Amino acid sequence: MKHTACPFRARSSRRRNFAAIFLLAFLICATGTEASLRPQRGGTLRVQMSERIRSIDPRQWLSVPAQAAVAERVLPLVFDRLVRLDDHGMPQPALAVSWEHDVQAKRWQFRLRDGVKFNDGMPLTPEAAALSLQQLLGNSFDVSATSDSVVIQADHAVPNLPAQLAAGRYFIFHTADDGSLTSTGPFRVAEWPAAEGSAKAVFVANESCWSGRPFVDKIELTMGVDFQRQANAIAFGQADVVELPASQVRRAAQRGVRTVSSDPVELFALQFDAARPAVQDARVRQAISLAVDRSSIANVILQREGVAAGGLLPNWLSGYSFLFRVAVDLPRAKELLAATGREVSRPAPLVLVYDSGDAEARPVAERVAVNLREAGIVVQISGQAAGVKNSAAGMRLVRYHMATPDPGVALAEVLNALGESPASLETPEQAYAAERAPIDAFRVIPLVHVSESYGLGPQVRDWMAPRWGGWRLEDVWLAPVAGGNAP
Amino acid sequence: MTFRTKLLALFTVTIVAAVTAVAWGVSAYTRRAFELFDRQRTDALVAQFRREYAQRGEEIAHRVQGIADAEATLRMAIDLSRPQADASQYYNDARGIAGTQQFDFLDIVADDGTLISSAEWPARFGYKNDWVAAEKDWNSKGAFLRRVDMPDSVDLGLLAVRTIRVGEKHIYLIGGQRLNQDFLATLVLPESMRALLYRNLEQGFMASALTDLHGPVGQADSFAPLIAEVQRTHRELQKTIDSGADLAANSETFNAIPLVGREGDLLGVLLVGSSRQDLVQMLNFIRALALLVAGGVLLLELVLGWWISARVTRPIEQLAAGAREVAAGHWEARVEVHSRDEIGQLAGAFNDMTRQLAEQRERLVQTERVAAWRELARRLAHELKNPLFPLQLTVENLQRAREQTSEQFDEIFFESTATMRAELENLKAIVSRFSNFAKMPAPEFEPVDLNESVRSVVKLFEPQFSTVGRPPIAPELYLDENLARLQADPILLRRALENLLLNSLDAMPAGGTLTVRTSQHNGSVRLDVTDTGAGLTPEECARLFTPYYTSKQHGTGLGLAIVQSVVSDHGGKIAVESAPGAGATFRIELPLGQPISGPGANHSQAAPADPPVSSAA
Repeated sequence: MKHTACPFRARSSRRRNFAAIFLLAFLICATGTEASLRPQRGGTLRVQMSERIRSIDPRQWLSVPAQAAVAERVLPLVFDRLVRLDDHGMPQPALAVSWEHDVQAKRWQFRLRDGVKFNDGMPLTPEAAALSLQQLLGNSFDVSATSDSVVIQADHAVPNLPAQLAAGRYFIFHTADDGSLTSTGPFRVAEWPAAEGSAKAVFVANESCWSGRPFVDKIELTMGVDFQRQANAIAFGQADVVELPASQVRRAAQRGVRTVSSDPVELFALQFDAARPAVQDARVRQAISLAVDRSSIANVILQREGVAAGGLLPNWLSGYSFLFRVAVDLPRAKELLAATGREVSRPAPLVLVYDSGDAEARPVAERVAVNLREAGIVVQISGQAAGVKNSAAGMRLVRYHMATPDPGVALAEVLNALGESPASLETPEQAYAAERAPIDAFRVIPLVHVSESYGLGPQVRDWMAPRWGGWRLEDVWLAPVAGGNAP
Repeated sequence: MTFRTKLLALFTVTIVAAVTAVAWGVSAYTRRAFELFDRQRTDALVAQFRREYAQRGEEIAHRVQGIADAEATLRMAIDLSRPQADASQYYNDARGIAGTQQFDFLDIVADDGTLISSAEWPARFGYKNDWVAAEKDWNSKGAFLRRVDMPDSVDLGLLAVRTIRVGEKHIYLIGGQRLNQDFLATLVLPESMRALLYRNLEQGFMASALTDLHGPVGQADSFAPLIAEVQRTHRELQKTIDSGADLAANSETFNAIPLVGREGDLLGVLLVGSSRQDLVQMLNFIRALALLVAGGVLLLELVLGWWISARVTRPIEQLAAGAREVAAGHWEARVEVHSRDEIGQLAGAFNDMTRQLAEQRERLVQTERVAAWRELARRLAHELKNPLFPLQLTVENLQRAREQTSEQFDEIFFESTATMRAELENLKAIVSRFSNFAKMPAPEFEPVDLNESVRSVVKLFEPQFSTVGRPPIAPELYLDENLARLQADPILLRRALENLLLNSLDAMPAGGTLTVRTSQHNGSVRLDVTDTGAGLTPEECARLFTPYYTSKQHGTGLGLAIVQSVVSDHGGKIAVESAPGAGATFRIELPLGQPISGPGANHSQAAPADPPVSSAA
């Protein structure tokens, strides 16, 4: 089976947009209005985010969901993958222009794009690409190089390998003699915070990028900025792109900030520690599922930037999430608890742990506690740093980021994070069954799916982020300030 | 204890009692004054608390009203009054408003009581606060105390509710502040006073619910009874609570003021405490001062009291000495009269008494002497009359015999002369006995073994113990072989022993047991002679040692008189114990050393109070 990519970059479609823009600019000029909608090069894009990543090395990719989500935004500034996903989640050529696999989908061959160079001037070779992928894919895969291709041999069938390679850590890089990493992406790292206290990274445009030079000259990325400071920064013109927690999107829009949101790509869910006696009984977990008012969380706490979730995947991704129950049934929950014949909160309250670094986790946890109190379960909430294990926790409020439009990949990642091991996810039926299994057993209780939102400054143009979140800063350009100098 | 000592002790007790009474009075007065002052301070603080409380309530109500009057709030109310209004956008508003108004609690509640936004517990949105919707005229109500549910606990808040009316719908604003130690910090407390707040949010007493300015109170359990009492009665109470190692110095008086909610439920207790340390220190000072004053006064009183009591008791001591001299037989004793007071009158009366006693004694002696001579004459006449009558009959018979034949005359003559000789011998014997009694020689002292004398005399009487024709008498000797030798006249002592044993033998005509016992006691030798005879009446005992007194047909009444005379001359004393039908015991006590000659040496006769005498000489 062979997939042939369009010889042009995806940006070719933008030429049509440029034509339209040009026509519009002409009309504006004709009416005496300043022509400012034409994409312009130059300027520094100031970006802020709350998370902080320690390294830009794909080999040090962290599996912590929040860290992975941030890396998914930052690393594509510097690195390219063999394949990218279009807005519909379909694999599209990137560094690989075409790919093919055998009947069993165990052996895959990706033909590399010609003329691509790393930003230190070294040409992209199949050997370099194979070496970097081999380090990232692990021992389940055997990666080799041919004259113009990279061959990946798996020990099992991987029918969606291109989709997998289009997300996550699977970047192509080259290790220079001094140990530094070089890449082929639209930007290169000019400054990276080495000191613990510094949180500012600077990326400059890669003039010789194979996909074309980005519009902005430089990106200043400030990490570790809390949401309130980010909101102030965007309000006072000190940043061009900031993160907005779901609960603040509406308020920011009311204050005149341009906001953009992805489709729901994050999942808040309750996960249980089956070893805790308080939640060993499935009826207790079912009662908890029936007592939680998901709509209130989505509509009030998350200010309608979330949707009540009955399944693990959002409906736009799976298409069947409406099959999962989300309605509240407090009487039934009380019946189930009464049927257990014991008080869940005795001798000690049930402990619900949430990520203390997640500003939205606490109110969600508090609301869950309120709902469960109505059902007769006293819950004590406790903030813990992400990744810290709390031995007393019977429940954990978890948040998963699905950085892929591929439902199979996303479900696999979520199930993997939940500790579930599905047999196969090749067909929608298999995916549905695999998703329903932990939900029906109440090992996990999905609560809400949340969008990823950003606040944009007035100069930011052409924000064309994918619907599953993240950035495409190479497409962004900065409009000149009215009455001021061009960027 | 002498009268002087008693008088001194009386002075001392009086002084100590007086100082104690004064110290107690001052202490009591000080305590009352302090408690009055403390009461006034506490009342002032309680009044201050009530003012602060009311002022804080008014301030809260005013600020809530300010929120209600704000344009943004009015816009929100208008928006929420629309059909299908989206209340979710106001979810975070309460927290922001509470922050600007420095409220700990702020709830925005819809017309039906549904919570729209909560500053203290945001996650509780959507739940009902029915108690708010039940009251419509909140704007005329002041602040009130209420239990506020928090995510993990229950808190106590001073709340005010205001309503915003849009059309027929109301929006309720519930704002307030936490009633905790921060509130206590606003009270201006004088030194040595403190205020505590007990938040009555749980059943029973919770030590952690009791706070002061700095947080939870140590040793909170000591307040449990007071809190429990207020919980039970809902009334203001006062109680003194001790704490710390020095309980008295660390005690505090607490006024417990119940804080109730709108429904009269007890939600808190304000405790206003006043340290009693100042009072305790003042009382200690007064006590120490009283002790010091009492000590000084006592010392002074001892000196002055000794002098005064000496002056007061000296005449009495002189009287006592005079009385002792009179008792010793010195009837001429007199005391000096120095004053005309009662003591002086007493001394004069004493002198009159001794003078009269001396005169009466003289008269008594003369009377006794006459009586003695009469008794002697009577006894002599009686004794002499018995032999004289046979003599008279014999002489008359002899005169009538001259008319008889010579043989008959001779026979009568010889018989008569023999009788006359016998009676004359009898008369000589009588005269000799009286002569011997009159001529009692002075004792010549030498070491004498009393036991040996007793054995010798008992041996002398052995034939009489078993005389044919009369019941036998069994002698029993219990002699102390360790008896020391005493200074005595052996002849007189033997004579006394003979008379004593003879008296006992005469007392047992029907036989019996004669017991002689010797022993040594406190520097003297004791001799007990006991018979088992008929015993004596008290009257007989009283006259037993009187010369010429006898209860026997043929006694002279001199035997026991001789014994008493010998014992007296040896500085000893004799006594008798007896009862009718129980025999009699004569007890002689003789000093081991040389007897002291003096007036008392001859006064060894048994006192009238002694037990009855059993036999007579």
